[in-house]
Amino acid sequence: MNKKDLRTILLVEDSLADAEMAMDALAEAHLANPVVHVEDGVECMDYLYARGAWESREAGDPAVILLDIKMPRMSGLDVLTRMREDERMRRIPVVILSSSREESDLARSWDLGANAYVIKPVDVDQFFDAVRTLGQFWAVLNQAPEQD
Amino acid sequence: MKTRGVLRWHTAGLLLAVLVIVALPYAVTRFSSQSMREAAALLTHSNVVKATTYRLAYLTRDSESAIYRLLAGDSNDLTQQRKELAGREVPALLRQLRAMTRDNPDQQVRIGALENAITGRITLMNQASARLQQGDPAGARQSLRDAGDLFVINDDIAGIVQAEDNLLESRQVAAHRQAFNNSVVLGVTALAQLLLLGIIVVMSERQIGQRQLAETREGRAVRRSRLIFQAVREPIALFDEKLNSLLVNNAFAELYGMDSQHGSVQLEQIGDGAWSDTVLLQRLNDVLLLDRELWDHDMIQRTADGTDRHVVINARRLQPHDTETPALLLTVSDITTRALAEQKVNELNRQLEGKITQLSDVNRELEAFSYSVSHDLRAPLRHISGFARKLEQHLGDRTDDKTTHYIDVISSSAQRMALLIDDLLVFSRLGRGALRLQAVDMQSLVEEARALSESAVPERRIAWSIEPLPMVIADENMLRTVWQNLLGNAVKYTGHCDVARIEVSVKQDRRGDYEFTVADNGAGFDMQFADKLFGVFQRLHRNSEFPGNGIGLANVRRIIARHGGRVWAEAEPGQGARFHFSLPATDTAGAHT
Repeated sequence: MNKKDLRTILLVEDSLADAEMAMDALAEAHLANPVVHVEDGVECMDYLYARGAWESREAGDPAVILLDIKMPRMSGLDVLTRMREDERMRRIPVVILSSSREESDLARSWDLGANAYVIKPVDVDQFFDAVRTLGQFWAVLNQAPEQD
Repeated sequence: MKTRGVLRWHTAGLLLAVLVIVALPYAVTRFSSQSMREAAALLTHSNVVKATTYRLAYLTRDSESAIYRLLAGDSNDLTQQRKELAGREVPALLRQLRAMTRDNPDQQVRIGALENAITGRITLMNQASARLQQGDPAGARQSLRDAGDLFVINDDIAGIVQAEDNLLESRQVAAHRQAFNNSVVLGVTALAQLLLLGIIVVMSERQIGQRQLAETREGRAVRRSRLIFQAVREPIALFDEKLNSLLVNNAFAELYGMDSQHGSVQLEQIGDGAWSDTVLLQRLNDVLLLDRELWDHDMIQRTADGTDRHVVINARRLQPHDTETPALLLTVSDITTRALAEQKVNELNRQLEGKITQLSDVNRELEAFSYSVSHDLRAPLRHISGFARKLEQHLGDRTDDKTTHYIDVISSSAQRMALLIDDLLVFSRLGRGALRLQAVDMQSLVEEARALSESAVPERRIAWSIEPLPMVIADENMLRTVWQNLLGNAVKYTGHCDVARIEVSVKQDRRGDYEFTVADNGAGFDMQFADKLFGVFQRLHRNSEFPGNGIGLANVRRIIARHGGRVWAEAEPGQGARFHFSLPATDTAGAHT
């Protein structure tokens, strides 16, 4: 396995049930990449900047961030805004994974520079399909620029 | 300009009249008196000529008779003198006579003949006198006889006198003619005078009449304007340059509690200080001195009835002639009621704004609500179906049919609830977002909707009848939803027919409003439930018979209402249904966004 394959998939999700299902789905995709789950935007920023609880994590940006919108403390859109403002984080792929079908959420996400917007399907098979496909696409197929 | 011209003509006419009335009679009278004097002089002249002629005859005869008396022996001094008299005076008289008739050649000839005769006679008389003194009385008598026979003077005398009389007569005739002419001229002049006097009288009468008429009119106009001035309900006042009142109308006097018999009052003294505002007084002085107009000066004044009134004051300088001192025209508009009304309107506006704020708050809350419905209600559903699946996986070979059935019901119920939530969200979104108005081709929307609904039931036989449809101004996506729902329903509820007949038609009323109709020959419904037709999640058929959520027609009604139209339906069970919706004329469609 080369270095690229080992990049993490960062799942930002406050709902533990959703997170569990997503982790199951990603496991079904048989990816070698480690999957890290954080529970809100603040923790996500800590992970990205390797500070607080994540001070001692291995260096390197995630291959993709699966980002929920509605979370306590700091929402997914706030996270996206901060990231796109920061020179070092601008290129990290972000997929919004949300229950919201609201036109305004979609429009704001795209405006802020999301790489994809996926509505969490209620149908369980569809949900598993979606998350599995996302993991495979962003962690394996997608070619990202080399890290500094 | 015109009056001045007329005046000039009047003056010229008057001068002419004076000339005719005064100068002409004077000239005529003067001329006639001169000719009368001349006539009198001529008469005197003729008489003098005649007298001189008679005197010549008399002197000659008197000398002759003196000689006869001497012959008769009657000799005295007086007789001697008389004898000499003719010889002494006749030549002078003859010269005189000649001089007087110098202008008359005929008389000169006659006088010459008379002179010859008289001279001859005097010569013979002198001969007789000489013979008498020589003592020859017979010779003297003979000489006298010869004198009487040879030198007859009577005819000459008569001729001269006759000629002089003729002359006099002809002159008198001329003088009479002259006098007659003069009297004619005088008469004509007198007539002219009378005529002129008449014209002058008539003209001045007319002028006086016109002036009186004008004065009457002017007086009437003045009275009228005074009436208007007093009747106007708006307070009006006129002040002189020292702001003393000149004229005050009733409304003004009433508003500021002035005595109706008031004299001139200083503005500041009017209305117990209503006019003592220094800014206003300064502005009014500016109006008077600098001719600045005071335009809608807004202020609160305490008026006679003790209330504070909101007034608007206008003032301007009046100066009809440069020579007159300027006056100040002041009008006061009492806008208290208007101001109160405005205040009320403002208050209502504020209330309305408050309501709008409340409304938008409610809208925001609704939005937050639907957001949370969209996000938060869906998550547990996902978990229900997700963990049902995990349970199924977990049980693995240990599942039996019952377990599988329970898990299926749990999953499908969660999915159905998710669909209901989605429908509800669509319905609420239709009521919120702005209408995106554009030209919409109803024909292509209907064709699209028809293709879509047909594709779901490829085995069905459906006879479509679609009239040509117009372009309208509307939100295209919303109308697409309308047609898909109506045609979808028509297809769905004709499911039991061998051949479904679906007709789409349109008509336009006089105002330009469109009415679209979708008619089918399907299941129809009972009209007593018609009011439930367009309610959210309301259904008139069992789900097992015709599946559905009961949200489609609610969406249709909401969309059509937002376009300013209405939707209604008529049907009979088993006889099909007709759904109608109207869209107002295009130019007003935008008013319902």
